[in-house]
Amino acid sequence: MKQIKNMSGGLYLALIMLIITVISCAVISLYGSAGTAADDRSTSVLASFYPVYITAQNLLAGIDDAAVSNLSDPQTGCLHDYTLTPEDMKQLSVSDIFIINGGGIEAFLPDVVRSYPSVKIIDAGADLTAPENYPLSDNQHYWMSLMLYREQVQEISNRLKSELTSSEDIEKLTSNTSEYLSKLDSLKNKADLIKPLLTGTDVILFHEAYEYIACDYDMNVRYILDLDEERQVSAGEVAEVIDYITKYNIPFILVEEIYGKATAETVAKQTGVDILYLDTITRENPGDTSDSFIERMTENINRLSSFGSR
Amino acid sequence: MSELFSYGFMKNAFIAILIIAPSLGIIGTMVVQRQMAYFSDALGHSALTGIAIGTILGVTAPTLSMVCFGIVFALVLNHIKFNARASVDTLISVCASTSLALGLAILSKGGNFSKYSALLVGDVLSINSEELPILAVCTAATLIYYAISANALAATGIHPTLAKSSRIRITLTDDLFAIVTAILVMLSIRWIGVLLINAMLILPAASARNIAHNMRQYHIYTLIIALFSGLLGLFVSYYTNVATGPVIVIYAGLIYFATYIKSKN
Repeated sequence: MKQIKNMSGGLYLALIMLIITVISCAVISLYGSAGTAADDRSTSVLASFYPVYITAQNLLAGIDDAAVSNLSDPQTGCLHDYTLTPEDMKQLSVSDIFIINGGGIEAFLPDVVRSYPSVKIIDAGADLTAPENYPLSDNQHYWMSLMLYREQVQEISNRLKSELTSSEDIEKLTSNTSEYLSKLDSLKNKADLIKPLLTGTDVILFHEAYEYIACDYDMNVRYILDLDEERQVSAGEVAEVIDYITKYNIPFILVEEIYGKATAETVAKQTGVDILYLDTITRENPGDTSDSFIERMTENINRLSSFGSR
Repeated sequence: MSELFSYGFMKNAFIAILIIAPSLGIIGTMVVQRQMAYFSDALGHSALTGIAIGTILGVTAPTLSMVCFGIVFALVLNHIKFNARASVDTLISVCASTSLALGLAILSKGGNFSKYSALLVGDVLSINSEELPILAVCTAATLIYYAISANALAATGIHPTLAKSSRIRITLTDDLFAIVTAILVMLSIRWIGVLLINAMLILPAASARNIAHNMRQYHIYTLIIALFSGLLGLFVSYYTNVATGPVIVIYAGLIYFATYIKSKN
């Protein structure tokens, strides 16, 4: 302590900075990563987040020339306010193709376009066509509608085809696409089977992503309380939800477990409404495979079926 | 190390820190000297309110609404400071909280909050080469302003009555300083973030104050600490894949605590 007291301010500052630098170097050597090395394969494909990543994995499976990686951490969820990390920037800088969901969900896209003009961007949501009741302009969770997701898969495949050079790779992509689309078609058939149980049902949504599910099953959406990571609910909104449940005799509410559980349980206690938790498939679960979208969407269909048949 | 600079975004971020850190540090010296830390914190938090009011008025450029609101807000806070009948800290806190709540309420009502919530933490890695000259001009203007006004600011900060007797226009000096601080804070916020901007402004100067014995040392140490924490934070965030802004502030905070120990001995 006496030495510190006698040390000049400049010397003390230099000593602090030296200690901090040495400790930082030690931390980096223990836990740091040297960076993202460019993959040796000829085409490096980067997906913006989990649903897009699963799609790219399915379409490019077995194509050795294409390396698929995911930009965001698999636990990120929706990308509304995502901030790019140094690792993300490194990944972007070594990518040839960047596949996005589109519709504005990748809010950081202008920065990417500006900083990496040579990266080709495949916007899976750019040319979607859907009936009028589908909210294409102000809600971007397209993958939640089996109809729109099928279009997205087809669009990504078409755009990837023009980027691949080897005829073998193109052939493989074509067969992967057919296989994945046929899985989606089977899923759609399952959904169509239970559709009559749900058509015309009045529902309240606790996440805007479910608007697409409601459209797929022709449910009547009476109210949307969009709960996500940055949303605060007002007392007036909760009261309004309760009023709507009573007024329309709503049998169940569609809820995203992470963000909506607390509010949903409050509302359920007050009104007795049933809570139907559905997966928005934005986060990777332990043990997920390339079939996870199909499996998790099947689970959603099963849950919808059990509630529809009540 | 050479691999680090092979990425354009790292080069830009490196230059941006070399530009932003000194200007925030230098303005910070006077903010700390004049005990205005709470003032600049309130100013940073008002950025979202500026954007929110801009959305209502149909202003499409968020930076413009932030800067305009920031200037008005800074002048109002200044006025409160001089005419307060209650504790200044309390009044500034009330203004800051009310303003922030107003901004959040407007943005959440219009569904725009998610669009601007990234401003809370900022992103220095997203700065591009076209924006660097703008930052450089702002920094140059700030430093020129500071060189001209430093004596007057120091005098009004230490002894307003004495400064008045030396024919220094106290209100004008204070208002100009508030306006410059507001512009600098609002222009830097996109890259540093609402939650961290005050730390970047205050911590280097507060640390320097703990160990400096005169104004010259105070300014030199501030510059060194601002640049050191900024650049080391950038390098460490690159290798550990942690968001850059928080790492910079953690380093600045560590230095503050270390210098605080020295000041107590």
